[in-house]
Amino acid sequence: MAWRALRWVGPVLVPRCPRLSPPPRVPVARRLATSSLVLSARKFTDKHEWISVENGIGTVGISNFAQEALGDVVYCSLPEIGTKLNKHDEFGALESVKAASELYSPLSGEVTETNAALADNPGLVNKSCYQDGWLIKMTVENPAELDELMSEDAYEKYIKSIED
Amino acid sequence: MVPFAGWSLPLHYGQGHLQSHLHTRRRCSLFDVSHMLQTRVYGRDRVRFMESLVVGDIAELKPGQGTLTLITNERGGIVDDLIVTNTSEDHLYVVSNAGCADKDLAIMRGRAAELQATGSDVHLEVSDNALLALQGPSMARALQAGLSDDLAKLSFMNSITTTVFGVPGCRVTRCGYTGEDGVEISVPAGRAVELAEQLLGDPEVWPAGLAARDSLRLEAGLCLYGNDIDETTTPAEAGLLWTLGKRRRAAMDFPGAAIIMAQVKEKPKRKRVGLTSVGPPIRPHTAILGPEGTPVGTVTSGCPSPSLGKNIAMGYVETAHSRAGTSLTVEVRKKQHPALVTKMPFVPTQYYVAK
Repeated sequence: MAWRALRWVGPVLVPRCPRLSPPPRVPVARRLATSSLVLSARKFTDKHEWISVENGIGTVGISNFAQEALGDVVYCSLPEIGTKLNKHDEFGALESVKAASELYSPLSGEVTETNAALADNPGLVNKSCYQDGWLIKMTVENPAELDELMSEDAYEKYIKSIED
Repeated sequence: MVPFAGWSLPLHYGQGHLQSHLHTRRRCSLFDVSHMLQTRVYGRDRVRFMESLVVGDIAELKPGQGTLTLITNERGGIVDDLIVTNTSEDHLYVVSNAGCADKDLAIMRGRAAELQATGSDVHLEVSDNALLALQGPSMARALQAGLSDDLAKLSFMNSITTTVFGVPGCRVTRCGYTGEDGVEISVPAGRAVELAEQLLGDPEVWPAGLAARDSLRLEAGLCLYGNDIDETTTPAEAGLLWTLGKRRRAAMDFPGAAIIMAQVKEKPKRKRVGLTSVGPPIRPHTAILGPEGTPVGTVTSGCPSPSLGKNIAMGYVETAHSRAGTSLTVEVRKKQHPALVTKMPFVPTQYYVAK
């Protein structure tokens, strides 16, 4: 899965690491198959959070597009465990040297865990936004809300549309 | 790329903000600051003209010497901060903020016309030169390779006209906006790219953008016009009384002198201070609270300091709370966090003085 975090997202953003170049396109079917072995299909919000749900618990992070746009994350403000969130509620912020970027809950539910590793190593959000750099885990109060989120393919099209 | 004062400027180049910032402190960065307004003031009465607008003692500047000064208004507010250099040629060289270019030009042209009408000899020329800032500890080594003049003889806030890497007619001023040893090179626009490429040919010189420029100047305790100072802040409140020339204070002959000199005697109600904290970064417009939890001020600039690994900020607080070491509170996302009033610069400056 490492290639996902390294994927180049497009000409709008200056690649932060010049040696990165677009990896060969992997057929859609293969990508989905790879994902499903590890986690349920990742769904995306228009604010660039992702969530993947397993056994009724959602894991939330930010997309590769978002981490590239934000730059080096130096501080993560995350909610307390037990915080009740409605869909679209602000639940924290990621801070680069330049700016703070607010985080919005993709679903309604309760925060069950936050990623403790980010306190000492906030850069994990950049290095591994889909794996080690996850932000919170939450219950899924209303599973129907998942259907309102974008699939990975729809999200990629959405990114293209905002880049144009 | 982001819009800035009518220009489109890069936030950063390939390396990213953090690396670019740290590289400037360790080695050297090249900033394109051509958006700044460069003006030459000619004529026998040029010093009198300039002193009618700014608080500094321009007459005492030696040939080739420059100073940071302020244009003030009649209410004692700061219209712009700018650098005025008394060139060893026949003019003053003025560099002012891009965001203030229109109003500065209107003020300068208006005053020049007034003086000309009473028979004074002064006229302005807006330069279309590019301006390149080379900043960091490797600057002297990198620039010396393309310079016949000895940089060791050029002190902070001094300026020469010379040939740089084969490009004649460059003005090299030892100054900058990072707190590091550095120069700003005013270069004829037609050969600016050539000069920039020469400088970037040095492996230790990286191009840097607006993002690093902002965090570097904040670590150095330098004001950003429009954030930390503006027409509603006075030199006394902003801690910029050192820019007032001794002779100018005695004569009280600069705009707003009555208000500013009264604040020198009675202390202003609020003062610009530095703040440090750990936890969530402090950003502009953050409320600053006193020991009783009541608001005592507002943050005007703030970011996590790449060099120090903690948060730094500047802002205005009631004078009673402005002493270094005072414990205050900042409110970030509805939560209160302790912040300490801290002397600036946050990172020691490295300005060069010739021995």
